[in-house]
Amino acid sequence: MTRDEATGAVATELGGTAVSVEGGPTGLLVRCGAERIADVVRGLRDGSACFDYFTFMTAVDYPPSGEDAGRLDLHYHLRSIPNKLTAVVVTSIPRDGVSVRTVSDLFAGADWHERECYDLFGVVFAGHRNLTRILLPDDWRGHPLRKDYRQEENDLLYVPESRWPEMAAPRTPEAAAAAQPKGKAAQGGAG
Amino acid sequence: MSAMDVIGDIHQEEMLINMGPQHPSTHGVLRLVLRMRGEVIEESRFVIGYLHRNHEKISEQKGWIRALPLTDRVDYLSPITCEWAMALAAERLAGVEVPERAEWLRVIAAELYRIASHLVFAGTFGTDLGATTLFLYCFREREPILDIFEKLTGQRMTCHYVRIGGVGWDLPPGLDDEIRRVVDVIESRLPEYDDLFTNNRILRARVEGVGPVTAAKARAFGASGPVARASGVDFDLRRDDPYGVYSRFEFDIPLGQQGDCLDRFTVRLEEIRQSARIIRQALDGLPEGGVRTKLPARFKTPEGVAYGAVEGARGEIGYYAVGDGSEAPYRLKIRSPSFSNLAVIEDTLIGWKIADVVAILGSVDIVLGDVDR
Amino acid sequence: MAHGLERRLPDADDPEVTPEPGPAGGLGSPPTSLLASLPVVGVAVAKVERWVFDQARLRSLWPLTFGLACCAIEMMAAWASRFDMDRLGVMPRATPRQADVMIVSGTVTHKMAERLRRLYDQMPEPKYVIAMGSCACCGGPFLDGYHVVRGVDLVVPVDVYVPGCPPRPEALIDGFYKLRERIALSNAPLSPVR
Repeated sequence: MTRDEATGAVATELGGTAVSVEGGPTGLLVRCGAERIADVVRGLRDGSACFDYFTFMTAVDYPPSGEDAGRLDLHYHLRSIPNKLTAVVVTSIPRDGVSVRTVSDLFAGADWHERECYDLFGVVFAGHRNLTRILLPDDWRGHPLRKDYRQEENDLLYVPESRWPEMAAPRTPEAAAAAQPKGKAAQGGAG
Repeated sequence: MSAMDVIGDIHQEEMLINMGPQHPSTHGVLRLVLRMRGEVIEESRFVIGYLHRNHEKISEQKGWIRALPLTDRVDYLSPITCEWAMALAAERLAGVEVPERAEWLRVIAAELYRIASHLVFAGTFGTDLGATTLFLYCFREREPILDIFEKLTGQRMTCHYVRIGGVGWDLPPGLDDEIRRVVDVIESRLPEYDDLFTNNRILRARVEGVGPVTAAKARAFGASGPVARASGVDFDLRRDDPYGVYSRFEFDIPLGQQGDCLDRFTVRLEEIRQSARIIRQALDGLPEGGVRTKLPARFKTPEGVAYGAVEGARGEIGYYAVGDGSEAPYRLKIRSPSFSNLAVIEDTLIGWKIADVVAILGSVDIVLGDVDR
Repeated sequence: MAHGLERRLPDADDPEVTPEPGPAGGLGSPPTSLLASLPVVGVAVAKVERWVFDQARLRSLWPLTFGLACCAIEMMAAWASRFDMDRLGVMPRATPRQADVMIVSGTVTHKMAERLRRLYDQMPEPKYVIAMGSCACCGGPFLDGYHVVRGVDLVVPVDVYVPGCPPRPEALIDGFYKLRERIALSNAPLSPVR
């Protein structure tokens, strides 16, 4: 099945579920609304083009600017092993307060990818069997790959200087003197 | 507690065992939490993230050119393929042409490092199972390959050879003869290593039939590379989604049937032979010309999305880049093969004994820099 | 008992978090024999004993196999056929209880730092730390990361720094030679903070 045939087949099968189906230079691009994502992914997997391989899933953060409220784009990349094609499904969700249905029951590989998306972007996947942080420690605050992530939230817990302060202390008398505020050194010298 | 839990005075209830993150057989900082009954595993969980080094965020901050050397450290046993995938994503986004000679040199470098990576796999797999002889032999074979890269790039491991628009350096005189010699020597010793492993009855008993993964499961998880091919998934990016000049070479893709540990070992050993074949064809047909397209002083990628995927030693390593017209990618997602390969075996361990965990984990050949990025 | 998936905040009263200080004899002092407690010659005997123990110790440094990242591969190459650190007496041990030296080879992340400190505390005295690679020395190329510790000397005291990314196996062997020199100079304090 060529890419154009697959585009046509997928467009017919998905029908009203997807917003658009295009055939780009590297494969199919399917756009859909966030509430339809599971139907689209299932349609691609079970349809005639047979996209049976889950490559990866990721998110792209667009923070609010000016009038734009900001959004998170979710990209799902699938492959069809028999037909040697790729398909990317793109959907948008608001940055906060909305959850997306998980596709980990359709593709087992989505389990860890969705956990990573939750960990680094804060996307909540409804119906996921174990939506916990996967790469960062469990009590990490914030979602680092968001554009407005601030590291200061984690400094108190995690920076080693606060955890093992004796290691960060100056090691030689010269370094200790250099670390003193200048006023004290002057007073110490004069007194 | 059932009647079987107490045999005489010996209690055999559930145990929770923690393996790692510091452990000689976890191939890095991986943690397994295993719930076991006696020696049999009932539930297993992987805890990863101990090497989460923030490649994606750092690439967004540093920009394409300055983040390209960093990407060697993602899959540090096969760094050329990681660099190639990132350069491919940038070249596809920005429409950069790569000279012919550079494409052929990329193939030679990638296949040489695939051989080196599979040798490390064979050595560490043997060590995990107790056959330390294989470790010493395989690392001995790997040293001449690292010498070649030292002469070519100045670095043994994290080479920064593939650049956006080509490769960093041309072959110095005499190096193609050395590459031929090294590849011939390695290929001639492969039967000995196969013999050390496959004709060792104890090793055979520990890996044959252990931890099988079906093809359907491999596809659903996105397993790639030798792990998927050992399960029978006939997919190799070099043949099925070709990049560079791979379509001009003749090579076979070894497949396994059962997807057990022995199949994963045999597939990789056969891949070394096929890599040697590709390297010889590439050296014979190497065209003349430049090795690098000159880029503007500030290399910018336009708006758009591109995915550059390469068949690494562990599987499909891909860089999914969203450009925004600046010198840095707006978002760079690293699709790592070991992340998906590790997810496949999380429940494969159930029902096997604790000693089989080491065999199964070793046969998947993960690299933690790749899993955690 | 938490299975390590939760992080404990520092608690000065928790005995497990702040280990007891070392033996009163000081770091690395061998057990004093009866001869060394004699009134006049005891001092000389103690010095000779100390010298013998130090020479034995530096010829048989057993490192903890603590490969974190890419530097671990060069560490393995240093133990393998061509460079063979075993001829220097360096035999890798998997458990901290039997190890003398911890080679921190690779990037230390915040998630790993706690475990690294615990492994260091589990090593018996005298113990040494080699920071191998630029990530362990100072954070290296990952200095800007949000999850990266900028140098392992913020977590454990380091005796020898081996720079490189990754350092060649010869550089690691050179690091071991520097550590042997430090041990041989037995009057030199190894690290002020333990």
